[in-house]
Amino acid sequence: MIGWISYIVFFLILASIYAIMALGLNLQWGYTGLFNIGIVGFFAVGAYTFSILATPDQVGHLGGYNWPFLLALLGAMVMSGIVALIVGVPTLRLRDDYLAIATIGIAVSIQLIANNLSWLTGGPQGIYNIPQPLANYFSSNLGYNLFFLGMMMFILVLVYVGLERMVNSPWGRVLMAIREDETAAGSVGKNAFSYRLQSFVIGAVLMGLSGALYASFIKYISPTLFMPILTFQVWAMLIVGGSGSNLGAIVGAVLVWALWTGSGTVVQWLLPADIQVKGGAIQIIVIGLVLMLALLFRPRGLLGERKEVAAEETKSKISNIQ
Amino acid sequence: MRKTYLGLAVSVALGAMPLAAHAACTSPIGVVMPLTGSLGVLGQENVKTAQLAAAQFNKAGGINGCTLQLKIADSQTQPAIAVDAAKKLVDISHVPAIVGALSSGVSMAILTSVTAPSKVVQISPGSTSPAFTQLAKEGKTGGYWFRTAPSDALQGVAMAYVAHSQAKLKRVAVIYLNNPYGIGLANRFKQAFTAYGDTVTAMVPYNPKQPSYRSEVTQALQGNPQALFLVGYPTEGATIMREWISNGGANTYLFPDALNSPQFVNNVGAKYLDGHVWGTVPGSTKTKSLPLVKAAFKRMYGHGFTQPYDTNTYDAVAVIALAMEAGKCSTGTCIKDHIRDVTENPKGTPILASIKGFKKARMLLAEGKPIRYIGASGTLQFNKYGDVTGPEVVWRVKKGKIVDVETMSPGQIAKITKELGLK
Repeated sequence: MIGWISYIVFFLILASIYAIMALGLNLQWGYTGLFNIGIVGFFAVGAYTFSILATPDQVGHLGGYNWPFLLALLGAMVMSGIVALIVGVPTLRLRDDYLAIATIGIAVSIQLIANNLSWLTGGPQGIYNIPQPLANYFSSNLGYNLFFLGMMMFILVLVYVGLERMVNSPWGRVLMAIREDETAAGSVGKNAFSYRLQSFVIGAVLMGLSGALYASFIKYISPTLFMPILTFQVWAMLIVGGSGSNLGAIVGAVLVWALWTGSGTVVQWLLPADIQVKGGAIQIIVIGLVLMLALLFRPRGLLGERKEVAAEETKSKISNIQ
Repeated sequence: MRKTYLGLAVSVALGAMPLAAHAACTSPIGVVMPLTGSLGVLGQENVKTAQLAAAQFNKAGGINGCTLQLKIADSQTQPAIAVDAAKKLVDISHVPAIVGALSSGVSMAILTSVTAPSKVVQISPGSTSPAFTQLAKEGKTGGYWFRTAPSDALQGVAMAYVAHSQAKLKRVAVIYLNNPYGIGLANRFKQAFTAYGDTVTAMVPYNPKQPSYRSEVTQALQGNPQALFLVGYPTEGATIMREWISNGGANTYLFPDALNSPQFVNNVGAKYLDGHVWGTVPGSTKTKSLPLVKAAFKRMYGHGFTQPYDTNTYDAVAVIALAMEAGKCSTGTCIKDHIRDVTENPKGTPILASIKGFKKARMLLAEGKPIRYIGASGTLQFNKYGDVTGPEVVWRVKKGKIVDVETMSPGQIAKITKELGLK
């Protein structure tokens, strides 16, 4: 029993780390329509910045600044925001597809930089000894993980409430207006570029935060982690949960992470020993199948009732006229 | 109606599981290896050797009277997934030990977040990064970390010794694969070689899967080296060698274990390599257990070993199982404390890797007599940081064949390391 609790706590910590990323993506895609497929790049920037700022002195990479946890967390968020600004300024003026290409390119470049710029990131060896907040105050592993989960829940609620307030403010309505019809929003004097940039940067800051929390929880990062598959996982979470809904993003993160990790266990339970080495492939098939079914039966996700600001009303008016 | 079927299916599935678990008493060992993802091809074959080891133990009577059961989980070559899988094995399946993972990045994530805090033994069959030794020196592994793949530190020193004292080289260029294996070995070689007062003219990293390595080769040729030390895998290694030769690079070559492959020699061309190669390879690779395991593997799966770390994976399972038997263990701490008893005791009766050998081991242990397991991958002497130590063999290429010329003992390498003032 204690084992199950311990595992579920561990599971929820990782799921909430993913949930913060999904929330960031939801602001970008769900509310503003920005097609960011370089999530893992911002996640990596956050993880590396946090690790470099927070770790004690170590050979092999930049570091030794020993910043306190919260300050390093803040530094990680600022740095991912800066990177998002650099990517966003030239690309957000262009059509959607350019942003997609730019973000995927940036994410791959960041991974390659992490792998090759050893003096900065430790190269393929990665960065270890990443500190955890208040780790010395806990004697048991489960006790510490419970504390970490509490901290994650606090951060998640903070992010969720903050985002809800933002998207329900006039600011948020402008975002949705831009998403639905950029020309119309522009015609009433809203600078679409500026709003898109704000949304893009805030979303990226959340992804950076998520990266920093991951680094602190696992205590080790290396370039192996920052592969495009992670971007795909976050997208799957948002689509299953429902884009355009912050609660949906969180629910999607928990469900898809459960599917991703749980399917492996179920497959291994059910398979006879001699074909267990092929179990990995079956697991991938199960994940793909569930995602397809979700898209078929709930194309807008579980909680995705996109609030459309202008379009719905216009449509009904048009039908009234007819 | 649909709901009824669903309910039925669920109850059948749930009912089946406890039945299977209660059939006999079992001792579980976790395996977290890549079955899909970039290392999936390697991992699948490696896991087969783990299954072979488990099957042999069970035929020899199991562990502590129970059936040895492998709980296999796919790491998907992704740290986040692997960490979750390992945590599940530790918390829910209550495994006292985990074999895995392959890549250093994944193994390290499991070690720092799951096995070390939970006091569970972790043995990696393929992670060679020096960062693990560093972590162990800082006391962060708690002694729960082991690896059956030889550390790069020994080979780097042995290679420097060969280059300096036998090949009489003063200036060497290094081209190395940009991963923990390549970096670790190349840096260690550079340390040792420069400690002799010789020069490394260039350290050029290369990234895998490029169609051409012309720019890397050109870079390495600057500084006029007398020889090339190429740290890489056979496929790209052959491409680099062709470009090195066609660009008129010096014709003395230093090759590490990864290039100790007849196929590589054929692909480059024996006429270019005959008499020009000085190689090193962890020498204990040819133990008496190796042919036994090879034959058993072929009987079980119908084909021979195809991947690196096959024997290392087999040994990881065998060592854990023997330690469990020796200490009547059910916890990680107990296994950790007994691993060296079954591999290092000089008075122990040698145990070969076979059903017969494991039967003998159980009998001797039951009588309270010491044993010494001879691994398929080496003699498996773990130092206090969990690294496996062993002899290094010097090899050359003669008439297109790989020929072993000398064996350097661990003591000899330790002496050289000390003389050079290295740690």
